[in-house]
Amino acid sequence: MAISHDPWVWAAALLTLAIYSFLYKDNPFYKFAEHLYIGVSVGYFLYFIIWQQIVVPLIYDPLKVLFISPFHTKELLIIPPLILSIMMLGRISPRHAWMSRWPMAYVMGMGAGLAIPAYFQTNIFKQIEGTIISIPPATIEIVSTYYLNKLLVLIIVTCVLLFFYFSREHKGALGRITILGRWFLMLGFGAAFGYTVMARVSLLIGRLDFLLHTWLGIH
Amino acid sequence: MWQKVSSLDRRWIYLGVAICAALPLILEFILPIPATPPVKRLFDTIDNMPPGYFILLSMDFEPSTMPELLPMAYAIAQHALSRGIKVGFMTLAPAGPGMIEIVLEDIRKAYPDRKYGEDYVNLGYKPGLSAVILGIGEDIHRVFPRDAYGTSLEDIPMMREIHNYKQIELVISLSGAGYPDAWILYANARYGQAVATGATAVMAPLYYAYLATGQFVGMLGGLKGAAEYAELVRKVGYMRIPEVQHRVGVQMSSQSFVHIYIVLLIIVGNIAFFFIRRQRGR
Amino acid sequence: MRRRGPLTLAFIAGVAMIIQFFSPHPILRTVYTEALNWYRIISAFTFMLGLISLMRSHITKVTHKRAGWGYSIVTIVSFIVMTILGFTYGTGAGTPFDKMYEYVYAPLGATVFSLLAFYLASASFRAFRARNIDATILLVVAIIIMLGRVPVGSFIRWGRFSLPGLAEWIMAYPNMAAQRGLLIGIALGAICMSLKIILGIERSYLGRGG
Repeated sequence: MAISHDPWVWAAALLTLAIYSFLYKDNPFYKFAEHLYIGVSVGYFLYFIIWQQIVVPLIYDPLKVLFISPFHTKELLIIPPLILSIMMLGRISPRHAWMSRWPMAYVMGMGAGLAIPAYFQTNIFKQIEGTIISIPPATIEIVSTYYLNKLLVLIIVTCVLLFFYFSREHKGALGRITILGRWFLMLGFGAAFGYTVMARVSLLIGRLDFLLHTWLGIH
Repeated sequence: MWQKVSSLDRRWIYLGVAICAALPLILEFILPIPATPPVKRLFDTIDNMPPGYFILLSMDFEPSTMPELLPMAYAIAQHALSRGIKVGFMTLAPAGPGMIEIVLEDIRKAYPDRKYGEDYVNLGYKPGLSAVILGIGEDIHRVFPRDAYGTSLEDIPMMREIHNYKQIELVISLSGAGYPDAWILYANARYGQAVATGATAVMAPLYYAYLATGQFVGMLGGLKGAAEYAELVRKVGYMRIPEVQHRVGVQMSSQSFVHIYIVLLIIVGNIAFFFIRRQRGR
Repeated sequence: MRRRGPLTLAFIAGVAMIIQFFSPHPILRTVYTEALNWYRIISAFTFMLGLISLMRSHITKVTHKRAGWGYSIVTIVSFIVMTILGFTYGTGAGTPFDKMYEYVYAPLGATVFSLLAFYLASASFRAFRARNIDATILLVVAIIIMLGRVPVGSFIRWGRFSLPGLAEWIMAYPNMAAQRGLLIGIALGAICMSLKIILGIERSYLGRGG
């Protein structure tokens, strides 16, 4: 057992414990750690993201080039988006909020236009293709199991999609299919729940490992 | 009696979680971790890739999910670099650059024979998500004019031949949010780029749908996926930072204990529920 | 006019992006690359908005001495310290900024999220009940996955059947199919929303007022 002598490790360990103290009850140590987290993350964002990734490469550098040779085309092209970007900041004051509508409209329109064909291709065509077309892999053990699984997938996808079909009342045959659809969804949610537990427990183990191994040096 | 059980103070339950998680970490035992097909697929893809090819390891995650995703980055980076595959590290997550630095610090020490700029490069972070992914498809030098340390990409030997997805063999997005979806939506659909993911266990169930269609060439799901991949890398003798792989193995034992504990909680909770309901029924 | 202009811009940008998807014409490619660059720059500025509004709320809390204003001072001071460290020492490996990230920011973020493990355990005990068929399916599948996905699960086997095998089969087929149904549904929703934005039917992002 060799406890860490690194003051940074101690800081991290004490802050970790401060957060966990919330499990017993809310207390000033937790509140302090929580607010410290917000402050440090905002500082990180301001310097690292805003200054280093936005201000320097997108504003300072091109303007410096333009100052030396004002008709540099590549740099001149940066001016319209810069104006739009500055207009975006209008959102901070209610009086100038209207200015932010132009950049917002550009961003929303671009996002929407890029998303439509992409979603069709990845989430609709590809997924339907994967459901109805099957190319058995070359090395297949029992051919029948492969097709049974494929058939099962087709049935489940159909039932789940019909569950979300609300243009007709869920009665009769459709009603029975949608109940199946709901059960299949529950199955998916059960799997998702199991995985979520796994994820959160992993995070906890990661922190405990830090406390026991890195900080306290328990081997 | 069951009434008492079902109204147990939550803090006792919390204590149980902590004990179950801590015990295996102290005792340090490792249970066998066989690889599942999605992990094997990604491993085989990288294992069959000729040396000299370029892969993009996009570490699209922040500290909040690092216990699950950082070990994946270590395992994949070691696998690729040991095989002589060139690795471009980048991130689409604002707090991701620090994650890359943590991995690179150890990589530098473990791989003195691999040179920065020739075998691996840190492109850092660029804001803009979909625009960045689409931009790489047009010209990566335009999206990342400089690497994370300010060197022009033109001056980095390994980047001279890399212009867009045509020269990128594989993109692996490690993430706990929707970043891998964005890689599929924009890099795979638009440019036919091969994409794989290392996802937190929260995201993994959904990604099975992309895996089945081949939109993801492979997937590591959560700490379990990381442990499986690390074990595969160890078996072929490419593990140069064994400490990380050992810790992941120990952590998976801890995971076993906590899962059993939670399953027991569910069972006891349900027994109490049925007995109380029966008593009320009378 | 204050609305019509931006709505027209959204329409043009959206339609242009759809058209370029289907056309490899060199002029369209140049426009597309440039439009993407603009998109990247403007999106980056949205970060600033978030930061400004967050810091403004903490500063107001301190100046008005609202409940918990002392903690807001912690936020403001740590923000200033972090920023000064960045400007003074840079962000390279081993700098104070880097150390703050690795030993303060990273552990705090990871720990806050790991609290959920405790809450999930408590919720499993209190709320996860087999009240009806739906809940029972959810519960049984969750238990199979939880045990089948950890090393201990591989000890549960009968002949050719093993718990990890069953868990992998559930994930790869029934779960995958259910998630696929959801995925298709989500995509249809996203496409409808995008169309509404392009056609100017959805305009809440413009905010209120003239």
